[in-house]
Amino acid sequence: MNLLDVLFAANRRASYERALQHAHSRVAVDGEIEAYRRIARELTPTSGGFTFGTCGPDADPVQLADDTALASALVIGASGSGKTRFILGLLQNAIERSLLPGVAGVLGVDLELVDPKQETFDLLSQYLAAVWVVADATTRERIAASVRVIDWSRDAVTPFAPFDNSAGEVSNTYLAYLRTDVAIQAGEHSYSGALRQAFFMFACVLVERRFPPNYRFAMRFLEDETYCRRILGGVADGDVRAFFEEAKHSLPKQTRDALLRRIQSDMSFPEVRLSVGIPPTDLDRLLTRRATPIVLGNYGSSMTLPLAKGKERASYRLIDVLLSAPRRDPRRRGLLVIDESPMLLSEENELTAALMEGARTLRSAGMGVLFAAQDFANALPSQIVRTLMLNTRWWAIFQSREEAEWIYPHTVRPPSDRSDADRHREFVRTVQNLRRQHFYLYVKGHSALPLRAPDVDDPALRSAAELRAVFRREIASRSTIAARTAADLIAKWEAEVVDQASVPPAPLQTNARSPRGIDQLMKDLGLGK
Amino acid sequence: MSGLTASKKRFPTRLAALTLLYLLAAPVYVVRFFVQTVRILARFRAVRHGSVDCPHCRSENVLDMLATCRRCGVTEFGSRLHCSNCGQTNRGFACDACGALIRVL
Repeated sequence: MNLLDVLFAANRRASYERALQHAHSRVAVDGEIEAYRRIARELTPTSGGFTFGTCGPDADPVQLADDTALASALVIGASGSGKTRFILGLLQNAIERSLLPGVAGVLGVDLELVDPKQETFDLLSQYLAAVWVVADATTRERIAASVRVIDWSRDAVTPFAPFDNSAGEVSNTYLAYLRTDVAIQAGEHSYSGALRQAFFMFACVLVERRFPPNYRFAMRFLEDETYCRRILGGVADGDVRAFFEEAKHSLPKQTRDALLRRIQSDMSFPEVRLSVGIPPTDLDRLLTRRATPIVLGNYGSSMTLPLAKGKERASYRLIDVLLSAPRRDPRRRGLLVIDESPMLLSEENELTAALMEGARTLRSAGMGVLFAAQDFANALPSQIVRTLMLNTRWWAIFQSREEAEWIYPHTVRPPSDRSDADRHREFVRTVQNLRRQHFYLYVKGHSALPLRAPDVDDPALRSAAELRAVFRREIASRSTIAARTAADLIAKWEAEVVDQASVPPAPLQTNARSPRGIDQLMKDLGLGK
Repeated sequence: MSGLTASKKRFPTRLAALTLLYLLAAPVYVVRFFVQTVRILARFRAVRHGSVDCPHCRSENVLDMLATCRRCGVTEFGSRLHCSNCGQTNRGFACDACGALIRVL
């Protein structure tokens, strides 16, 4: 008998117990796999649906019905855990339904991507370019006509009129209030109460006159009293008129200077000035304001702009989407995807309130909001986290720690000798160390299901640079205008409105407001004084 | 008779020489014994732990299970490296996931 025999003999009892426990756990694992198969069968619709991944050792495909897949949801996971590719797969699925003929789906899907990080936008644009390259002429035209791109660079920008209320979805004052709130929250400057009020009133003037934000206009409007009065002549709101007419009292010099400094700071970046500075009337002429089923927004600063600028623009766009959502056709499904959402939700403001409200109510408009983030539990205020948890239909949890706690109560737990605390600890450890592409899918009403996200192949036809060039040239060019054209339009507007002694009348707004009293009605009809 | 006497006379000398040889070799054997004991005890830690990770595919392999001895054919709950029936001890086994040899002892 050698030493090994002695050691094995001493270890025999413990070895025997562990072997028994292992045999029991294998039976439990088999039970668990069967339970997962059952859940996957329950979730997968009889036909169609969105592919979410594969489950179990046999890689059984798991699909979700359209109603569930396009409902409000959370996608959470650490960087590099496969979250972006998963979202990309989902977006590709939705795009196929919207664009390509012969794919199941009675009505297509409206898609809006808000990407403050640029990565998802970039990958999706390459995918669209790859589809465009191999498509026939009709499909190419359909792709180009169906996609609207919101992007800005030094060469071309997507024009945007933040102070144009021609759609008339809200009152002019409320639009001015929303824009002011977003600009203040997104910016890195501090605002006193007086400055905030001045900013709001100035925004009211821009909305009423349908003017673009412009530093030279702001300077002349605030410095030249006669000019100011002429501009105010076209402003219907008496309070706004009174505020600027009595500027000596209501607008101290320090506040006026601070307001000008803020506007100058905002307008000093060429990308910003060129995209928001074009007069709305010219936009009507330049770009047909058609409804496109797919809107891809790149709000990443790409290290060429302050982060706050991208955040501000993304917030403006989100507000526009949320304001128009209740008026959309609910039979046509819609999905708003907000990547890196804590960047936009970290503070409680008008946008956050609107998004939370949207998560609660957009279901009735046939629209869902997909919030993606690395970490929700720590990045957002608990009130917002709770609202999101309550108002989302499904969660995809990739590598994460805190969020693993959220789904533990919904996991399949076959009978075991181990204590619940041990199993809880092990589950959290498992979720924390999930391999790339692996995640837990929790659809409310079902147990959580461990899945492997479908593979999203890189378009191998061309290089990424070539595909980006194709996307810019063939698809994005329809919704962007050249920087030089934008600069010319702004210069023309400044020459007409800022430099001229007389100010042209405010362009007609398409939203006809009801007249305020009989005097106003007579005036509008040209019969009054 | 004289030969036996001579042999008896040489016995103490041979015993002394053998003892001296053992004494000279003893440090080598003692060191070797300690080294082997330490090595076995260190490697036996994996057996006590109950599982070992494959150095090739990183998958976890349990050591205690319902195992069948490849020598005597007895199946029992215990370590897959040792058979309590015939005393056969295996120093390694094939990984359950990739099939590569995992040396444990």
